[in-house]
Order: sequence, then C-alpha cells, then structure tokens
Amino acid sequence: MTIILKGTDISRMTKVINSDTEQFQNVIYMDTPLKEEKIKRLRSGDMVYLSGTIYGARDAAHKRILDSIDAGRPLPLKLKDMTIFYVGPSPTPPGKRSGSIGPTTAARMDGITQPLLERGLKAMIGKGKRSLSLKNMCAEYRAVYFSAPGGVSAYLSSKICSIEASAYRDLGAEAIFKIRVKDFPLFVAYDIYGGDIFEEAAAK
Amino acid sequence: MKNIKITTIKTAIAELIAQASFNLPEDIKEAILKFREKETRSSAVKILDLIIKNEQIAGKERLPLCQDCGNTYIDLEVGPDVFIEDSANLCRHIDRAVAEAYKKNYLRMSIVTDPLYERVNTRDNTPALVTIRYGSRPGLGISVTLKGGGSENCSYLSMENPSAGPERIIEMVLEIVRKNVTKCCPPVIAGIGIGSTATEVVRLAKAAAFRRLDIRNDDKKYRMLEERILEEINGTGIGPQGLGGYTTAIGCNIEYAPCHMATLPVSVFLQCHSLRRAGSRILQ
Ligand code: SF4
Repeated sequence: MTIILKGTDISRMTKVINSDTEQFQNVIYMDTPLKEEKIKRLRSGDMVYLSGTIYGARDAAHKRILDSIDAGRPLPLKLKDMTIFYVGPSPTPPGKRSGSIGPTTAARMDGITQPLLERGLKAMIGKGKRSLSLKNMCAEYRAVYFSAPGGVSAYLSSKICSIEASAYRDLGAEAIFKIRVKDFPLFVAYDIYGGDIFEEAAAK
Repeated sequence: MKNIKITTIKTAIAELIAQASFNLPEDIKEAILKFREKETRSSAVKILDLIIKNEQIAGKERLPLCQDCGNTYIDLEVGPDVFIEDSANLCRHIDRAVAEAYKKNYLRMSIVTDPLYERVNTRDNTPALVTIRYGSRPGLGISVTLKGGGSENCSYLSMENPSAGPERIIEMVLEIVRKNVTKCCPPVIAGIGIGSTATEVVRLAKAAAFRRLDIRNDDKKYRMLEERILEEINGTGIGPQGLGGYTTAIGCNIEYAPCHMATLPVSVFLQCHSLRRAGSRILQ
C-alpha cells in the first residue's frame, strides 16, 4: 500500500506499510540544501532518498576544519544548510563515476561536531549509535543524523553522479569530497524531536 | 623439498586480495540468505537483500565490497615439504605484493605511519600483518583477510575471574553487542577467544572471527555455547544496521586454549558481515 502525499518543498513523499509492525513508514525524496523547513518534516525511522550536493569529510578533515575555525581562517566549504557525509571513498577506477562509498562510524565525530552545527550544519550521514550529547545537539541546532547502510558500498556507488576531492587533497581518502548524489538511500536516525531509531528499533 | 619462488607467492597474494575485495565468501553469502528467510521485518529484509545485491555489483564491476579495504592480514602455513626462496626478505616481498594489488585494483589505502603524532598515510596500505606458522599439510597455504577499521574498533580483551562461568561470557558479549554493534555494520560474526594469555587470546578471537561459518567447534560444550550466544545476540532485536530485526549476527565462533590456573582471558571481536577473506595453497 502506497500513499502519495503532497509536500511543499519535498518533491515526492510516499508512505509504505511496514509488513510486521503494521505501521506506516515514510519514504521521502528530498533535494539538498536541507533547509530547516525540510528538516522539520523528518522523523526518526523515515526513509529518505537524498539528491543533490553533499560534502564528504571524516576524522582528519574535521580536525583541520576545527583548526581553521580556531585560527579564524576561511573554511574550504560552506556549512550553512550543509549535509556532511562521514566517508572515505575508495579511489574512482577509470571509466567509472565513483569508487565504493559508504558511511564510517559517526560516534568518532561526536566531540568535534558542535562548532560545525553552530555554523549551520543541518545533516550528518554516518553509521552507528552516537552519544547522548550529540543526540541532544540535533534538537538544539535543528539538525538530523542519517544512518546509511554500511558495507554495501559498491551498491551505494551507483547512487553517485560525481565525486571529487575538493580540499585537503594531501589527506588521500580523508580529504574533503564534493559529492553529487541521486536518490541516495538513508534512514533518519536522530530527528530534531529527540527521536532515536536505534532505541525504537531495539524496543519493538 | 619444494622450492617455492617469491614471484609465485606474490602473484597468489595479489589474486587473493582481488578475490577477497570483490567477492563475499560462499559461507557468508549462504548465512545471509539463510537468515533472510527467518527475517520478518521489512527494513531488515531490505538490508540483507542489499548485502547480496552489493556483492553482485562488486563482483561484476570490480568495485570493493566496502570502501574500507582494511588492514591486510596475510597468514602463511608452511608445509613440511616447502622451501621458500629468499625467505629472509619474505615480509618485504609480501608488502610489495600488497602495495601493487591495492594500487592496481583501486582499493582504498587506509594505513597511517605513526599512530599518535603525524598519522601520515603510507599510501600503499602497507605494512601487511603477516603471520607464518608451520603446518603438517604439504605445500604453502596462504590466507588473505581484509578487516576494516570500524570492525577493528569493536575488539575487546578482558581478564576475567577464573571462577566466571559461561553465563559471564554470554553477559559480556551481550553488553558489548548492545553498546557497540551498530558501529560495525551488523549483521556481524562474534569471534570469541577464551583462555591462553592476554596476548594469545586476542589471536584466538581473531581466528574465531575469521573462521568459516560452516566449520563448527569439535567440542560439544563449546559448540552449544556458540549456538546459545548467537541466539542471545539475535534476541536483542537490534537487527541489520541497528534498524531492528532478528539478524544482528550471522554467526558465533569460539576458539579456546589452556590457560594459567589464576586466569581466564576472554577476547571478543565483532566482525562485520563484509568479511573479506580468500585462501589458496601452492603445491608445485
Ligand atoms: S565495519 Fe565492515 S562493512 Fe562496516 S565500514 Fe567497516 S569494513 Fe565496511
């Protein structure tokens, strides 16, 4: 059973019924930038197919971004309404649009995310549970944390239109990447209302 | 004696790295399909289907199963009839084979030099982690396993009280699973080492995590403990990717060894489903 809902700024939103829980699960198609009006409509457990431009950055790139913030230097990416994907892709083989790509453990970024949220970061993509303080920050800064399926990176590469290292190239796989995605599959893990997919899933 | 040439070993290692990177082992695929049958939650079925679909794309497109192409573990088993050419430089030759295979197959280089200060990428995924042991079977056995960092981070060592029984082991595994399993892409394989010493029990856990799922424990008590732990892990409801469901783990393997009367070392490795391993034996 599928119901199409009209959304103001969401291109397509459908509801599918979850066979065992008999509950509706939202399936939402969204484009970046994820401005607050879009973020407000997301609830933990929703499935989102994301399209548009996002940036890839993981541990070492975060460290450099924070150093730049501390030193008052300009940043290599705009953080307002931005989506950051915690990722270190494999190299793009010749003739392909992307190498394998998938989320890295988000919890490692928990202690270094607040300065980015303060500057307008609206969505993070990673895998796994995060700290309580990070979950609370999602509510405070009106940002969401998406969980992407891990270990299916060859499949996810088919959702990539283009990828290029855009800054800190010397870091290799840990550089900052500008990534254009089309219908990239995500689950809303933490929403801005305190919802937590991991708690809800294990409780059922 | 068989004189095994370095070039033969290097070629075999390069082939195994490619094979492991692009194809899931048969026993893992079988386990995923088996658990898919038991799964009722639609999101869980979807994730398990994605794992199978991913493996098909990876094999066809020669794209790595996971972007984290891991640490490279190389285990050699030297048979009684084997003589290895230039064995004094064996590890150097193996590193060269690893570097070439990673470059040629567009695998991600993930190793950094100094762990604490510079953390500069070595840019060729070396050094490989080589272990060499003597075995009774003829020829040279080579196993290659690639293990990612997220999965490596879910590794634990605990020196337990010798009076702790199996219930304590179960409790310990469940605690670790509840707290951390979502960080290493469930479904996982729980590899558990019990006994020996602090240094060796971690090797036992590694061997258990890498062991084929269709090879069961000879000892009935340990075999039953494996089954019990697997059931308990799958009773948590955490499910594939932590999105809920039955399949939090697709296997539990235990390796054990004698230990000092005052100790009970236990090590737990949560190994992600993307267990990239391949092996061969050079006979000529
Ligand atoms: S835990 Fe395994 S599947 Fe997940 S990112 Fe790491 S290597 Fe890949």
